[in-house]
Amino acid sequence: MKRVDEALQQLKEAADSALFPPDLTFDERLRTAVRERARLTKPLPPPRWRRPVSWTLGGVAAAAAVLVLVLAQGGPAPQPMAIGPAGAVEAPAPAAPAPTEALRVPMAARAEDAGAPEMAAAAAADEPADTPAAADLPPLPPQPAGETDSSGPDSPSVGIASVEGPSPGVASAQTAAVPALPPVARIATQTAREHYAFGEPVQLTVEVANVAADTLQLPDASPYLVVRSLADRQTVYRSSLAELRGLRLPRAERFVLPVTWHEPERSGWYSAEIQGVTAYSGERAGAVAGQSARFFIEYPADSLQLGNVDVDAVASLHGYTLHVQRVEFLDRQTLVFVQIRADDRPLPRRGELYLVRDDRRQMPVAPVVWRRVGDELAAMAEFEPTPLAVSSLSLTLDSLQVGQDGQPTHLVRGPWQVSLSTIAP
Amino acid sequence: MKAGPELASTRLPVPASLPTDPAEALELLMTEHGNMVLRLAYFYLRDRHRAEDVAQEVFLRAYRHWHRFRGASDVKTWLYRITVNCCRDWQRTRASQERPMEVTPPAAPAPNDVQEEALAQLDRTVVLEHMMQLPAPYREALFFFYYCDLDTREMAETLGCREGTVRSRLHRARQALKDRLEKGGFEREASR
Repeated sequence: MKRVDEALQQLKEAADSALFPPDLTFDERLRTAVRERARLTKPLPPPRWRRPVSWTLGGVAAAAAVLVLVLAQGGPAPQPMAIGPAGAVEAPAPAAPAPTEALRVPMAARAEDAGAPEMAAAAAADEPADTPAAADLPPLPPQPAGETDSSGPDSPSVGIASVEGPSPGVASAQTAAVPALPPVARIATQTAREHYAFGEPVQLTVEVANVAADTLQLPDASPYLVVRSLADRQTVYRSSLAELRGLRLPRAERFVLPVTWHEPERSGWYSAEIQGVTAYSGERAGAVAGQSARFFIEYPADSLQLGNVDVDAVASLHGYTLHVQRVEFLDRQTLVFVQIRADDRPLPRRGELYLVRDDRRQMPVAPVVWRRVGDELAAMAEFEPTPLAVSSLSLTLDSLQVGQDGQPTHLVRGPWQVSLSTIAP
Repeated sequence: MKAGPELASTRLPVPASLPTDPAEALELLMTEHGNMVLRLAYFYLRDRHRAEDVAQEVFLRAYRHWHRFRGASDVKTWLYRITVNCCRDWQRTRASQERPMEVTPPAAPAPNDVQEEALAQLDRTVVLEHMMQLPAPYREALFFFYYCDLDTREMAETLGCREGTVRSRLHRARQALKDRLEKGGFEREASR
């Protein structure tokens, strides 16, 4: 072992000479390529908790100036357009599209297009898991000061992602009082329905909308549609969207691409999202990772535990007590009602919950909303329905996020674990 | 010399100041970490052109998200984490097949007066060769620890897992490496 240790200690030298090509360096050619690409890509603004005060003030001043100008002209403020609810494609489309046929329709035909703040909020929440922001651990994400907080997977139903966020000095989605600038493009992933029978093909729609003044250009590389299980976050389906490759969209046009997932193999909650998109419009560009659309594949009839169980069990650690009040076994969810108490210490803001079912870890399938109720923190966590075959069930509170003055300060690690009774078949 | 994985590892100090301007930061990051990011990408992807593409993407992401880097981790760890994520994305999307990475043997037989060094070099190459045949998590753990000089906490941040998992992987990786080498007569030969 000693000789192995010695050799490992000198691994760097060995690898440099034997593992890598001798001229493998990040040379000027690569640096120039990065600079060129960076020139077309604006950096994202700092998050709200780090943004200089002057930015926010500048944004407010700019918005006020725009408002004054608009009022002086006697017209309403321009509203950035947003994608409407799932399913509807209202347009002078000649006929119903074939499953793989894409539609290109003018956005002006959308009567329901409205609601920039909703779109911007969705875009702001759309931080891909592999971005540096996610990588920059372990600081805690900022939360608005208030009495509710949520944690969990992406927002449900319709996912909309903007290609580019607002520029410095201009209002962003994180500055509620100031309207956001319209993005270069938006991509929406939608499902026709939220619930599907087991074995039924799932109809998805991917919609790219150009909302910029210039023609939108997607690069010559295929984005892909990814379907993930919300319970374990595993990817179960991936489809390359060659139809979006090199797509050029004139101003104010949309491109609608129907996609069918034919063979869902497991029941449960899923999310669908678009990944790997970069769009260019003039000199504006940015990466897109679509926020997910959420849908449910139903379980076979008579295969689930159904009913309510009053648990009333506690687990204490580090001066914090997890109290599980009850569990509701439903056909589309297992709902767990919890409270957290703090003994002579600050009440946490939120916690990370998961369910262990027969040794398989299950994440919440919807954002967990935490509310302060008196001296306690309460939440209802939504998990996958519980099949009859499940014999053991426990709830784990992995960590607690503690904060002060509306800002997160530190994590208290558990786990706090409570065994839950199941319903006998 | 670096401490073994069983021992507490030391952390390098976090750089005192970093530029706030993304363009300045980009230049600094490319200068200080360009080669390592490229090599890390090559380690994962085993293809020069892909590694170059990924390295560019890493610096572009760092540039775009520079304002969101909060300095809680070392900038090096942050970049490595992006690199690992980019490489994994690439591997997932391209469904790339595992193919063994070639290890080049030592160049030429050494003269007698440097025989000792030549043997040591042979040892290193043999160990490296066997390391590259270990399962990916073990290979990854040894590479980050011994080549990238990350401690276990930084490795946990980079790989997105718990520090305990990293320690356990390192221990098992070294054991697996030792077992492989023993089967090949490496240790027996050494004890003669």
